[in-house]
Amino acid sequence: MDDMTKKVDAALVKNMLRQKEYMRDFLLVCASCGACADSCFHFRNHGDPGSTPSFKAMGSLGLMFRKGRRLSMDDLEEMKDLIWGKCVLCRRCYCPMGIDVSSMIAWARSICRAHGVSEDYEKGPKGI
Amino acid sequence: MLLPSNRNKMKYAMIYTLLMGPILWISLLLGLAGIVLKIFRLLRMSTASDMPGKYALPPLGTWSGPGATSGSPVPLSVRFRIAVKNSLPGRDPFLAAVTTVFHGCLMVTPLFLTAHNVLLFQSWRLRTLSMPEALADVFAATVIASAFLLLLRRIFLKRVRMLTSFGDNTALAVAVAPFVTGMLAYHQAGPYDMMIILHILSGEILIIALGWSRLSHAVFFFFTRFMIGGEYALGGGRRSWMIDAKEREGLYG
Repeated sequence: MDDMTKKVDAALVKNMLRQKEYMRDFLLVCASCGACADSCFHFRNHGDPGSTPSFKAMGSLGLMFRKGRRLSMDDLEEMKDLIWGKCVLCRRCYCPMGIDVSSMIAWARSICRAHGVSEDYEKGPKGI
Repeated sequence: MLLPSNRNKMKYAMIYTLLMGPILWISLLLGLAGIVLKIFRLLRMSTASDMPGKYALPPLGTWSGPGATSGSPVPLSVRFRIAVKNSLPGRDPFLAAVTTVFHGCLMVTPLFLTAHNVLLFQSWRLRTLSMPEALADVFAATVIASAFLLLLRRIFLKRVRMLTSFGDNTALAVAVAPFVTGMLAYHQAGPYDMMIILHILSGEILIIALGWSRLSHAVFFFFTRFMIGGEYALGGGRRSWMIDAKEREGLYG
């Protein structure tokens, strides 16, 4: 199916976000302290501030909560690199507040997959 | 005819009475309602775990070394090193130290401040524990200084700057404003009448924010770290994030 003609199923996204209502609280209480960065092996090896666990969750599931109905397929395509390219769901991310960061990234992946967006292993996460 | 200065005094006295009367009650009620609703919301969004403690780290005594069979003894020094390495003080000692000092002083100072307790005594004849004023002064200065360090970290560390939003800076400002205005009022720096009004107002905003904004992490922290099971849980982990069983069946059954 051509990606350009596909639209985000707003009702499905809303329903899926509602199933994990507690993640709204995760995103609300996050103090953006960046303490999770040091527990992420991806961050420690590459030093890329964009691979901070909190940044990955905010840029994927956080974006879905923020945008709601305005979420577009382009948004989903753009967050592919964050949630597949920069995370392996190893669940090592440590949050002093007890936020389960990797569960948010996993659920963002599920929502993307429900729209046929997933990592293309032949092309790589960035589509190159 | 009142002198302009007297008229000003009366205006301040009127605002003071309002802030210490109805507005204080409203803010206390709003703050308390927010905290109670938050607790109910967190309880509603989680269920009693089927297998409490399943995902918790094993107790120190049963750790096994790399390649060893489960339960074989590992030197205490190694176990201690691993435990420290996995904790915030081991990962980021600066942040751990600053945030501990910041939160400790933030909670202790207003509760045991002599001036606050005098007000409590005047209103309700309540005698509470107070600390020396000089100590409270040091604590308040520590709150402001550590908040400043956290702000510097936010500005100069790229990974934190990328995460920072307007709300984070506002939350920090709301938390620290009562301490800044309180210190200025205590030392009679600047116009006292104005400062004390700003102090009460900022304190009331902080009380409301405790239940409704990201400052509600005061409630969230204790709930998630001590109640929810997980790799980093403190305590048994009696609950897990899950919608209730009926809805679960509908979704996955």
